[in-house]
Amino acid sequence: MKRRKMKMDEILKRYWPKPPKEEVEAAAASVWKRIEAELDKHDTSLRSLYGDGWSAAPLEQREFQVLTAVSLLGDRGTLKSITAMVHKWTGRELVGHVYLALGRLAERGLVTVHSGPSRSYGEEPQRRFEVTEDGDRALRRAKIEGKELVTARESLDSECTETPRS
Amino acid sequence: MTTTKLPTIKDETFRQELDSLYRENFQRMYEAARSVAGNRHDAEDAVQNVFVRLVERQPSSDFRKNPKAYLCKAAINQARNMIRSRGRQKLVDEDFSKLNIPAESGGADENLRQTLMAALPEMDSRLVEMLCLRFHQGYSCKEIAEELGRTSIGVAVNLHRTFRKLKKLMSNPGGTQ
Repeated sequence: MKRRKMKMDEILKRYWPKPPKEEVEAAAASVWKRIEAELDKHDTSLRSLYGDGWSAAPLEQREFQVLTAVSLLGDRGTLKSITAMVHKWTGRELVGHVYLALGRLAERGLVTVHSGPSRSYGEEPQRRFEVTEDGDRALRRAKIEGKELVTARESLDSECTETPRS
Repeated sequence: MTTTKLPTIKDETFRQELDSLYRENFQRMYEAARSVAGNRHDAEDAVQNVFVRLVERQPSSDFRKNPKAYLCKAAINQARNMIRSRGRQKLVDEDFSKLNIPAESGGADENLRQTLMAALPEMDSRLVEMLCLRFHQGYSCKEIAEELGRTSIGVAVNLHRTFRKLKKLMSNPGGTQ
């Protein structure tokens, strides 16, 4: 009769015990081992559980083109050579855009800037750009996301601005 | 433009995040899953499946809103699916005998405990989660509300309804679905 009067929270307190600490610890170790085995099967190097789901920086189209050019040029990446490479892909002279994009990429730590020796007296030293580890990660992310060097629109613009051959 | 330092390797970010998430949430997830599944093996599998899913694909928006609540709920759902897929809704595993049941428990107490264990899997996962927080973690309604992103009045009402539903399930086991 007494049991019938027992309230539900009393029943839960009494008959719904926590598993012992040792059991929880053993289970935690065993399950983590299995999760680690699963982790080894997947490339999670660019992933994050939070934010936008990536641990690599996102790139806009122009930044992607500029960063790719810097990466391909290696230690020959100057403003001039980078602009020339981007020009090849887009068919447009974009010195200003490339310069600004390089500034943004440097600010975000995706490229480093090195000042080379000046070739002649009074001439400004030439600056060389190199991709950082974060920059490389950003490029890998862009490739996984399916970014392409030339967008359909750029391709179209490029065709339109091309001078007809005589 | 400034020259920046080469950053350190960040390839381990995901693994570190997962590790810390696991450490913070395993106990609660395991306890909740065990309550529903009734045995440690299914509880382990349930928690494992939740984390493996996080590894395999991008987490859902629910996860981003409240990771703790999401994980616990997901573990309960996994445990319930396991039970249902095996058609063992009324199972109370033998390894419950290893739990700290009051020493004076007699046959009637044992029946009551088994009825409770059989009723828990029938409950909604968010309600089981609340019960876990209340009775296993010893949280107050206010703390549960903060943890799950709800109001404390809402939690109190839910707990009251949960008790009522549990009582109904226990007095009429298997007859409510």
